Amino acid sequence: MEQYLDLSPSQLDRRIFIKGIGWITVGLLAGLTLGGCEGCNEKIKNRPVRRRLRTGSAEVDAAINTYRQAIQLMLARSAANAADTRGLKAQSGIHGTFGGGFNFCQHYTDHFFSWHRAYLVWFERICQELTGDKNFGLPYWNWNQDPAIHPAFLDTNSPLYKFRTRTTMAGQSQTATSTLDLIFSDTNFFSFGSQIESTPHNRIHTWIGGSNSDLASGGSPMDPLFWMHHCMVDYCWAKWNLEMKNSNTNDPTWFNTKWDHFYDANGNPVETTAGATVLMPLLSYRYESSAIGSNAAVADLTKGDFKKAEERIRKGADIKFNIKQRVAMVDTALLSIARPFSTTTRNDVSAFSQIINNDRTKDNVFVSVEYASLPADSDFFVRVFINYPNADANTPVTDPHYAGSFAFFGTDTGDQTHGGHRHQPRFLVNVTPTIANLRRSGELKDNSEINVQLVAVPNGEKFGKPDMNLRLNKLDLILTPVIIRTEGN
Amino acid sequence: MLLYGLANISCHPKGNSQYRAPILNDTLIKTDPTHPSFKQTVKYTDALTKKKFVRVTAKQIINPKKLPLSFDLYWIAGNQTLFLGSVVPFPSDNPGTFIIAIGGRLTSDGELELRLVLPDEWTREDKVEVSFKRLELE
Repeated sequence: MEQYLDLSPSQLDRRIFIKGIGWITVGLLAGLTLGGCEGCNEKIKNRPVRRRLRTGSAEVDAAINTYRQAIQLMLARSAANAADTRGLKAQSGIHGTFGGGFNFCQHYTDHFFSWHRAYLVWFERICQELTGDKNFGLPYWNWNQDPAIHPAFLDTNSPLYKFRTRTTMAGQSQTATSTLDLIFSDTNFFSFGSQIESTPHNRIHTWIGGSNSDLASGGSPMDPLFWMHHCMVDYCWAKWNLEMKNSNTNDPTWFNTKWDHFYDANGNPVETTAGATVLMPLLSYRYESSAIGSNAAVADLTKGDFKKAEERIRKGADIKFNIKQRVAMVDTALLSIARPFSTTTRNDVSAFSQIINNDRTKDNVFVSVEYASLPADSDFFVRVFINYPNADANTPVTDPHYAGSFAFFGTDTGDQTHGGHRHQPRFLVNVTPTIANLRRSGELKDNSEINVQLVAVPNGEKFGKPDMNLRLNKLDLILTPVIIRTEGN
Repeated sequence: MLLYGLANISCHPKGNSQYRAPILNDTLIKTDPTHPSFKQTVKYTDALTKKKFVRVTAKQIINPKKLPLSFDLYWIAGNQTLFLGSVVPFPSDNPGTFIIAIGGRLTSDGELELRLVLPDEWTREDKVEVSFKRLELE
C-alpha cells in the first residue's frame, strides 16, 4: 500500500482544532509550539451549533440576525476594497465568479465534500470574528424537510436577499425523500458524495438560481443562501458519517490533498488538508440533528459515544485510490535546497501520452515525491512546476507552470521514527489542472515530454540551513481514476 | 457488455410527441428539445445483479441561457416504467459525469431511458443540446 506524509486524522491533535489555526496548516504545524490545552473538552462541548433554518425558533432567529450582520459587514468590506480577503467578493472569488466559472472549488472530484467543508469553516470563522459572536454557527437549509426558502432570504431590503428564479424546491424529485433515502443507503464514501453533489446539490443551484443569477453560477457564494445550502450538503455528509455510522475513506492520497487559498478569521492565508476536515463536525462545530428523508433526527452523542465516534472517524475505512499508470521520473538524487531541481527523464515520450491526454472527468495526474528522510530544518516549503526548468524561488505561483506545493511536518532528529515507524516523507501534488492548461495553450502536445521542477522556498527571507541536502528517493507521475467505487466498504 | 446503445425514441419533455435521438458516432448521443431522450437495451445476466450504478456522462452541453436542466433516468421492463433517479449539471452548461443508483431494481431484461428535462420557461427560441456518452453500468 502506498504511504504518504501522515496528516491523517489519527495523527492530528485535538488541541490543533481548538486553537483553530494549525489543523490545516502544514507549515504552521511544523512551527507551532503546542502548549497544553486546558479546557479542551469544555471547548469542544461548547463548540458552535449549526441549526436547522426554520421559523419559530429564537435560537435560529438569533443566528440569522448574526448572519445578516456578518453579510452586511462583508459586503461593506468588499465595497471599500474589492481585494479585502474577508469581503464577500473575495470569499466568493475563491469558489468562482459569475460569468467566469469555477475557480478553486472542487466539483466532480473526490473532494467535493472536504473542500466545501473547509470553505464553510473558514467563512464561519470570519463571520464570528467580524460580528464578535464566537458562538455563531451557520444555519443549514434542510431542503428536504423545509423545501421553501426561509423568509429572511426573501426580504428584498435585506442583505440576505439576492435575485433568484424560484423560492422553493417543492415538487422536485432531487430533494425528495425517496431519492435521498436511496442515496443515503449507499455506504461508499466516494459514490455517496458523488450522488449528493449531482442530484440535490446541483439541482438547488440551478433550480432556485435559474438561468441568470449568482446562485446558478460559479459565483454562487455571492448569494448568502449559498452558505446555508452548502451547510446542508455538509450536514448530509455529517449525518451519513456520524449519525448513520458510515465510514470515510482513510486513503492517504485523499487525506494529504492540500489547499492554500482559504483565509482565516483575520484574513490571512491558510493551508488546509482534506484529512483534517473529517474531524471538524466533532471538534470544531456540531449540527443540530434533523431528519433527511426517512433518516430521523438523532439525540446528541453521549460522552461515551463521542469517544467511540472520534476513534471511528479517525480510523476511517479502507477505501483506496487506484493507480492506473505510473511513470518513473527519478530514482534517487541528492538535492540541495538552495538550488531548484529539474528532472531530466529518459522516458520515451509515448509514456506521457496518456498523462497528457487524460480525461479530466475520469483521471487525475499527480506528481508523487518521496524523500529518504525528514530534513534537518523545515523552515521552507517546496513548489512544484511542470515543464519550467528555469523556475526558481522567485517564480510566482500565478505562473501557468505552477502546480502546487508541499511542506515538511517535523524535522530529522536523528531518530527518524514516528509512532514506531520510520517517518519517510512522501507527497502528492495534483498536476491535472496545470497539464490541462499547458495543453490548452499548446505548450504540451501529444508527443511532448513532461519534466518536473522542485523549488524550495524559505518561509522567511532566507533558509536557516542553506547548505542542507535532501535525499530524493523517487519521483513519479501517477495517473489515478476519479474513483467511484461500487464494491462495499 | 451489458448495455446496448440501440434504441432511441422518447417523449417530449413538454408534451407527448415521440422523436428519435440521433446517435452522432460510436459513443455520443445527441439530445435536444426535439429529440429529448434515448434508450439502451439491458440484457439480464448474473453480472447485472452486481451492478450498483448507471453512469451518465454528458460530454457537451449547449445551453446559452443556462436554463436549469435535469437528466432523468427510467427503467422500462414489460409494461412498467420506473423512475430511477435524476442528475443535474451545475452550472447548467457544465458537462460532467454522474451516477444514479440502481438500488437492485434491474431484475429482468429491459431498457434504460435517459430523458433531457427542460424547465417550463423553455421556449422554442432557446437552443439546448446535450451530447451523452452511452450509459454505463458499474
